Amino acid sequence: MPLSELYRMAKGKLESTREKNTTCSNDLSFLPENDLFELVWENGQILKQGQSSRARKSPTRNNFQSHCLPSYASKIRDKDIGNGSNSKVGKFGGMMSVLNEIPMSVPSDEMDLSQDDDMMPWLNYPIDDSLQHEYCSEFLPELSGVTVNELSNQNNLASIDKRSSCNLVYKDCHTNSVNDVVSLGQGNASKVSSVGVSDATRPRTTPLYPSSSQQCQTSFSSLRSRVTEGAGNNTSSVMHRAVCGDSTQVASAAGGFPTIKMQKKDQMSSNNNSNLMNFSHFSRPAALVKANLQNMGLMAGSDLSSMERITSKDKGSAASIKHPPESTHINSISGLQKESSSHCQPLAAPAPSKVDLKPSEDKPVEETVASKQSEAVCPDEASRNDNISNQVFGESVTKGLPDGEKTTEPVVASSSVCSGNSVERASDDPTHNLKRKFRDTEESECHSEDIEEESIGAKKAAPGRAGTGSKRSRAAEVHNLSERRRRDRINEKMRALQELIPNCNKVDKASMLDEAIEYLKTLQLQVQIMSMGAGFYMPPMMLPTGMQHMSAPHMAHFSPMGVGMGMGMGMGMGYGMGMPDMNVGPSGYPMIQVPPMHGAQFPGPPISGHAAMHGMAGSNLQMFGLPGQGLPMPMPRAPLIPLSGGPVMKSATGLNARGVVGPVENVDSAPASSSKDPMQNVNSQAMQITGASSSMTQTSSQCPATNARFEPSSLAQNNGQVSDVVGNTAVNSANGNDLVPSKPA
Amino acid sequence: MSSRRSRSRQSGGSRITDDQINDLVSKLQQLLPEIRDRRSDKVSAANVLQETCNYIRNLHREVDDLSERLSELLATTDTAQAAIIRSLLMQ
Repeated sequence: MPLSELYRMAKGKLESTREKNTTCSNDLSFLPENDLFELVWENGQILKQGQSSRARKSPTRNNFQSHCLPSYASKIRDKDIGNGSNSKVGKFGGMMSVLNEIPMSVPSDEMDLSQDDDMMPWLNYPIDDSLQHEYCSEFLPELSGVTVNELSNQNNLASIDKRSSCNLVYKDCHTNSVNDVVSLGQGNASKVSSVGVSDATRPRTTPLYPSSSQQCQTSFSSLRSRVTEGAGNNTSSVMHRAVCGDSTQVASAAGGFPTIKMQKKDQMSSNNNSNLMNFSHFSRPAALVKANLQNMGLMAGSDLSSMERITSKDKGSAASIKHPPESTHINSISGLQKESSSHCQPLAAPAPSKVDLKPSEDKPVEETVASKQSEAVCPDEASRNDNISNQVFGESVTKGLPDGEKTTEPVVASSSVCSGNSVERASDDPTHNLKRKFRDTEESECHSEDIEEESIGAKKAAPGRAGTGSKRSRAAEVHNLSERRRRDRINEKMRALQELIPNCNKVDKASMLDEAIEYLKTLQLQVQIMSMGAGFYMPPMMLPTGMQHMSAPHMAHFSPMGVGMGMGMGMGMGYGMGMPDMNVGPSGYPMIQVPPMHGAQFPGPPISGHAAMHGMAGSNLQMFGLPGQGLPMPMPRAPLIPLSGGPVMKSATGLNARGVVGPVENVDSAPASSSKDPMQNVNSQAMQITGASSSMTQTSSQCPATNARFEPSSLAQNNGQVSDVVGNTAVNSANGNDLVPSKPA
Repeated sequence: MSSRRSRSRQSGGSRITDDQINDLVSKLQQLLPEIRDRRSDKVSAANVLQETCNYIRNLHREVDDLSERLSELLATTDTAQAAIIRSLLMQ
């Protein structure tokens, strides 16, 4: 059986690693900070310690590492999540297979290309060539990678990569049993290498943190024992055993790091076996891992706290004991995958261990929620928590331990997962997290995938160019939010507008706007007309307002208003003429004359604004005569107006006393004319034509002729013309006035 | 992926009407003296709609004011025309 062989191999490696550890421990004490870094990476949990120590010691190094770690962690987490969700499992499986193959032969670069989107993040990471090489070597079962790691920080990074890859492999293995075997072999190899590194680092770290190293060792021993137990339990399924055995071996060899893997494997196996016993065993390892992580964080935070942490570790072990039942619950609810993912995440995000405290609180809730959703939600919360927790490392660690004890291990695991994500996100940006959360709340379903994608993007950005990537994603998020807000605002205004527009039942936005535009136009016209009328009636206002209103549009407005087209016309004409005389008696005359006009017009209710308006405007702009002709046609009353325009023009051009007289008479008869509207209209049209022709071609001398013609025509015609003429005359000159009186007289 | 696609599809479907609405909004903007002269790209649709609402309210107020004034004027004028107009308005 390949599995058994692998198992044996792993055992052999583990043994060798153990030996190395024992031997190296002494030597390692001499190693500098770099060693510390390695330790962090290898252990997974240790990673946290390493980062903290690094951060304190060398900021630059820390940054680089931190970037790399987050990204890896995020990837791992994503993968874990994917495992949790069935849909993602397939992808992951594929990824796993790819990974397995890649480590064997393909270099790191090729790996990136071949790998799926999830893998991409790795590629994106700014890993040095040397790192890549190491990475490849790490992927390979051989330990060569380990040696490289010991050499430099880059090596550390490679080890981290290896770890992540191992984690991925493990996960994959969990999902796909067949693939698992192969992956396990690779994972074991990688683990072995990592273990070796960890061993080396551990001894080195020991000098700096004696207490921590001791603790780790103790934990390791305990882990080994546990692993062995787990293996025994796992025997139920050969496959599971093989995996567990490998993991256990690795764990024993590597110590903290292996323990993490072991936990994952154990969980996987436990899932497969569905045996409570396995869970209990697994849970123990997990608890140990957690405890280790906590210890690591404590070590980084403060040496003094290490003692307390040790005690906390003890507690953690106790918690792990409790886990079995809890874990079973979790498994039943969300499935083992979640647990496994959670375990993996802790490994990936060693630094976040501190964060675990807060996340742990959030996790319970998340667990209750669907596994996918919980995962998605958790990251956000975790990120927030992480940010906060990062600030309070020491405290959080101490708190975390109690929390872990209180909360079930599954919860802790979830918290760790969250913390991992949170760490990544935290590193990217807090605002990012907020945005993500927002989206999540809005679209929880779609988000799970989106979040993953985003997280990947964030991871990519995080490594080195985090700035641009995060900015891009952030910009996209902001855009979405702002877009939504904008639409809401527009809809709100639309509703307000609808309320303002009478008889607007349109639901459609476009028709709504159409309606609004039309209504605005009519309103504007109405206001203009009304102001015209007001100005007209207001003696003092007359001149200025009149001048203003002279414009054709105003005239037009009047007609719709029904206030007094004739009046407006007359006024406009008068002012336009600039006749000083108008002012003298104008008001009276126009007024008088206008009424008749109105009478005529009103019968046919106020002219619908537009036609009349336009006509008027046109007529005004052009010479009155011409426009008048066109306008009158459509509207029965319009004719009257146009007629007035025509006459006005005539009067303006050359007022005839006779003409004036005629108008006066007409005015008097106007009331009658109103009753005769239909006739008037016809007549008026004819009149207009005549008037227009006269205005166009005829001069003042011709006017008389036109007048003569009018006289012969029916009274109604005369009235129409007269009214127009009257308006003009009144406005234009005192002569008109004189004539008017004379007529009545 | 599918969700994104559907989202883009939706946006694509609504883009047509978006164009129409943008057109109408710009037309509307031309009717608003307050923002008529502003550069169109600086005025958001929501802003235009808000201004439209304000403008319509203003016009309503103006119309009410003017009608009141006109009625007052007509009422205060003793001339025959005023009487006629009044009668006309009363209709």
